[in-house]
Amino acid sequence: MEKGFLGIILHAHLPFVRHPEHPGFYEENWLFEAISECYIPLLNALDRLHQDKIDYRLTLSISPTLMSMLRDELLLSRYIKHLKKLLDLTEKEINRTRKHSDYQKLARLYRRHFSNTLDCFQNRYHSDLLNAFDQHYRTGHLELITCAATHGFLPLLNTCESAVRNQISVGIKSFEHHFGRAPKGFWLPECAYYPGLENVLDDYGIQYFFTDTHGILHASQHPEYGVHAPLDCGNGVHVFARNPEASKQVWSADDGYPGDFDYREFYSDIGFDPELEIEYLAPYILDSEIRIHTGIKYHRITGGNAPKQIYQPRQALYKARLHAVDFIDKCQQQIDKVSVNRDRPPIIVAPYDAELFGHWWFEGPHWLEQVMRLANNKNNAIQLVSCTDYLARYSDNQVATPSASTWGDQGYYNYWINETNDWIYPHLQHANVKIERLASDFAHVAEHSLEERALNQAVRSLLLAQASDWPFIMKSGTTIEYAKKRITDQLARFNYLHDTILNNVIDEHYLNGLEQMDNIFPNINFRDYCCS
Amino acid sequence: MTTINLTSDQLLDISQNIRRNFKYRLSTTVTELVLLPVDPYHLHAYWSLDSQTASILAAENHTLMLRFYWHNKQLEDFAASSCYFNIEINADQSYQRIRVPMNNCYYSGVIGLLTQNQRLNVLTKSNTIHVPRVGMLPVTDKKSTIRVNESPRSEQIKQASCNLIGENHLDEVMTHHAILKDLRDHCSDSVTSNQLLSSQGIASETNGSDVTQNQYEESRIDAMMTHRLNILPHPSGQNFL
Repeated sequence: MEKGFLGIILHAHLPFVRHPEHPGFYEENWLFEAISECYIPLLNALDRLHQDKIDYRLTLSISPTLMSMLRDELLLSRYIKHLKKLLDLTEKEINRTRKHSDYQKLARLYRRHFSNTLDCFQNRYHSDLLNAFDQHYRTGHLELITCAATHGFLPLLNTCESAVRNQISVGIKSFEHHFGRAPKGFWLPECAYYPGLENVLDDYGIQYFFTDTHGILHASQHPEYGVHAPLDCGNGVHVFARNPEASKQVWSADDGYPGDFDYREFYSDIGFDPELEIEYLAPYILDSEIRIHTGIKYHRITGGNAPKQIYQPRQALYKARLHAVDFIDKCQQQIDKVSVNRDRPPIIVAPYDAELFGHWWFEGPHWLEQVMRLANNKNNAIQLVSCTDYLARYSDNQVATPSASTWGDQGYYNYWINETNDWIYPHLQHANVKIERLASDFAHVAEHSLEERALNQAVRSLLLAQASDWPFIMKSGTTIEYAKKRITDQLARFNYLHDTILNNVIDEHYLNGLEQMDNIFPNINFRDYCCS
Repeated sequence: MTTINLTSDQLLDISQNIRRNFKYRLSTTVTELVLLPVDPYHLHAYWSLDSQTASILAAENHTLMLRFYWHNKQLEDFAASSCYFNIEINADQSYQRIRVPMNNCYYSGVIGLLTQNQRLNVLTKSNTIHVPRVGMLPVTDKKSTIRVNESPRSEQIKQASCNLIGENHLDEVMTHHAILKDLRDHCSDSVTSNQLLSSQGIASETNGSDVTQNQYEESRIDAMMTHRLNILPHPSGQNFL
């Protein structure tokens, strides 16, 4: 019998950022960067594992907003333009660095990298990354799950139960729309749990979800196996907790692998190189004058305050392999330590943001691939599993209610409700009360009528305003103005639709425009709002 | 869904017109009080007053007051609970972060006008929330009891005999004096000491777990450090790392 299990879960999410009202929009780069640096490298790694007949297991949560963007024609066409511009920049860089062979090698590497990415995207994956992930699901190695519709922070939407239910039901329906089946697991946005949420998940057929470590450690009953076994919430829905050690090895700012001096330095981007004139960078930066990350980075982390040294890709990949060995080794040590006096092998649950791998940690996909190869080695007595696999073997688990928790700073809700963002919650709650009334009062409107379209669009606007990303950004202080604009715009759109529906003055031209701009969840039905 | 494709200029025009003319504003047609949990030590309250109440408040010599009830079980009528504390608020306030006396409890509130004879005329009730438990449960399922004596009205803290059993994992009987001491120690951020009854100091044991409380606390500290990385300026603003 294997001594223990390792469950790796990646949560892939980006907020819905799509601006057809502009010829190009800077924040759309979030998606483009994630496709090039995270999703395609991850797919490439899974392809190689499949080719080499590695018996791996990985769970990938894909948020409904990301699913929608990954199948959006406008965004995908803009992505290809973005890649072609980068290829153009690498050509210029190869020429510029011709007297510096080390740099030129890297410039050539970036040209190869972007060229391969474009080729993979168009020819191998046919511009449909969801389908590519689904192919891996069909091999039985990749478990796909989803999360709330627009990544709403459920504990703070819970003043109206309908808001929580809609986030969950629309999220699941969106998954069904894209993959043709229901997900078994559910990623709670920000791992934000409150007692009772398991009942809503149960209503939608969800079998398991995740919390941060203290969700289980502080449960209503002392957890007999700590974080090394799931809890049954009492209704058959199971909760798995993030393993603190596995988390620390990857996430920690000080001791985590991504901070190693051999890895590529994220912040050392030629977009911010003072030696490069704005005129040179103009076609590749914001409004031709504001420096931004281009994706071309020539240095490694190096460490300390010393001048940044040039990036050595082979050395970095070698280090990623060493770190993979270390990770597996530490997982084994942990399993050995806790395996005594148990009636079942322990499980280490290791969830991470998918965008960590490749974007922030350039070598992350390689590390992940190596971890899965090493875990495949039977000598390791550690087996990769999905939570579904685990529950199929061990369905009888300790019953307890997890504690309210998130994986955010300080472990509770503070990051999403504080002096920077608390003003949004009365607005969201009032809008929810209004949509409940509309859904009830106008349930009888004819199908495909203007009223029905306006009501559906109002639900979309509200869902988009509920995204946890906006309060997160307000607190983190990054693109605050954009986050504020998105919430106020979505609420204004909701307000407009609400007023025109109530006053029976719906303007089809405006409605068309809103449907075109916020084209997420095409099959939404406002009538489900109160009864979903 | 959409049959006519609009140009980007048309879309921009629609977006800007709606932003300009339909800015979302909070209506104040009803009096309401809403509570949101924040962490084991705080809740967030926001409220609004209808115009009639607002004018009464302006015209008469009333004090606007929030009263928070708590209990270890969810009650149908929290006003029946004798454990509560009051917070006086200004007429121009509409929200406040509140430090709560007990973690792992249910809270419900009312907003009302305090008359000159110290009677609270309740305007409306809030929703009920649960603030999370802090710390692990002890391994044993020991029942414990806390009994609290009534404290002086002059301190605006009223708690009649308050019998919290079991799930709060309180390992000792806390005396009225102990609670008042805690009150002085813990009341700081949003509530003055004569407005809040605090009874922190809950002990817990951690033996029998695979991950000890110390290990866990270390990892939480680490997680906090990790999240400092999140706030480094990056154009995506995402919680990548």
